[in-house]
Amino acid sequence: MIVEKGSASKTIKNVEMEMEKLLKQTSNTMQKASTVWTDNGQKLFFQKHINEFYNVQREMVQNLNSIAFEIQHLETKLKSK
Amino acid sequence: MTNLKIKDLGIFQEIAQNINQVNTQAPQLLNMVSNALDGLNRELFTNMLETKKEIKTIELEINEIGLANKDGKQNDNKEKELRNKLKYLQDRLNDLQNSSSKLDHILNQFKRLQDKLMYMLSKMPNAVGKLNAIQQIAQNYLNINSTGFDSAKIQSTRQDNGIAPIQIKELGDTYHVKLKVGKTLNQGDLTAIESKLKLSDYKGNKISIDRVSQSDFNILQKNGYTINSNGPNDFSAFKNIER
Repeated sequence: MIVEKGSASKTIKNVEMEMEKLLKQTSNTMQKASTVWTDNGQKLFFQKHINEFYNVQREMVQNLNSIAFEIQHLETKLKSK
Repeated sequence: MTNLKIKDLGIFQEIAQNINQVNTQAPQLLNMVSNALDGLNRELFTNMLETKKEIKTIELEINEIGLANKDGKQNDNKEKELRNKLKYLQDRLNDLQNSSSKLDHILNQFKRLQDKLMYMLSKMPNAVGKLNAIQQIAQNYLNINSTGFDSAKIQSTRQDNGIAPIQIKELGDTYHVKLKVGKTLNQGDLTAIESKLKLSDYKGNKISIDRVSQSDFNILQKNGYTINSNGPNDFSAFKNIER
């Protein structure tokens, strides 16, 4: 895991990229988990758990993207003063 | 009780490992964001206090010039210069205050989501524990059966009665019948499977035929089999037999 030090927006952008990698991994895990089937068609606890976790992670990545953008804007604005 | 169907026994361990990796890395990453935002917040706060102090100093200087003007010592240029500087500082303070307020909003939004994610991560060790337990149960089940039935016979019925391509494996109390992809069942197949099992010395009481196709449903149901959906376009049929 490499995260460069620098401005806040740069740090957040780098974290966003790392979180995206984890999100991809969770997506793969979710796909693997879906290969386990139950005879009554019900989802198992870990399948529900991973799906829920994937959604929160995705929300976090989207959020980091908008935070990085806003912070960069804020930094640029303050720097121009 | 729910029965599980898995393609790979290692799946639970693999899922647990992936969860553990996210569990280790995500909190560190989120802390970095939190620190970056807190650091920025602190910089804005310090800058605001400093700017306020500068404003106060300039206002005092302007007041002093005002008093001097009353005494007849005009210094219009100096006053103009100070008023320009005051305007610049007030603009800066305004920008800093707006930025700080925006940052507060971003921080709250981030902390809320961070809490949500951390709460989910806190439940992960429990999930990993359960996954490992399932893996162990599945492993034990297979071990018991392979020990108990190390004669677990994989037989091709082709050798005995010309039914092809069908394989039968005895596992636990069940005869698992595996059909080759594309094989369509007929009455002769079902009769041969059942009579073969009834004549064998094994005491199983259930037949399970995997990978049946929808075109087999009719004949299977006529023969007392129950169809089961195991996934998209993935069916099996089972029937209890009397010995």
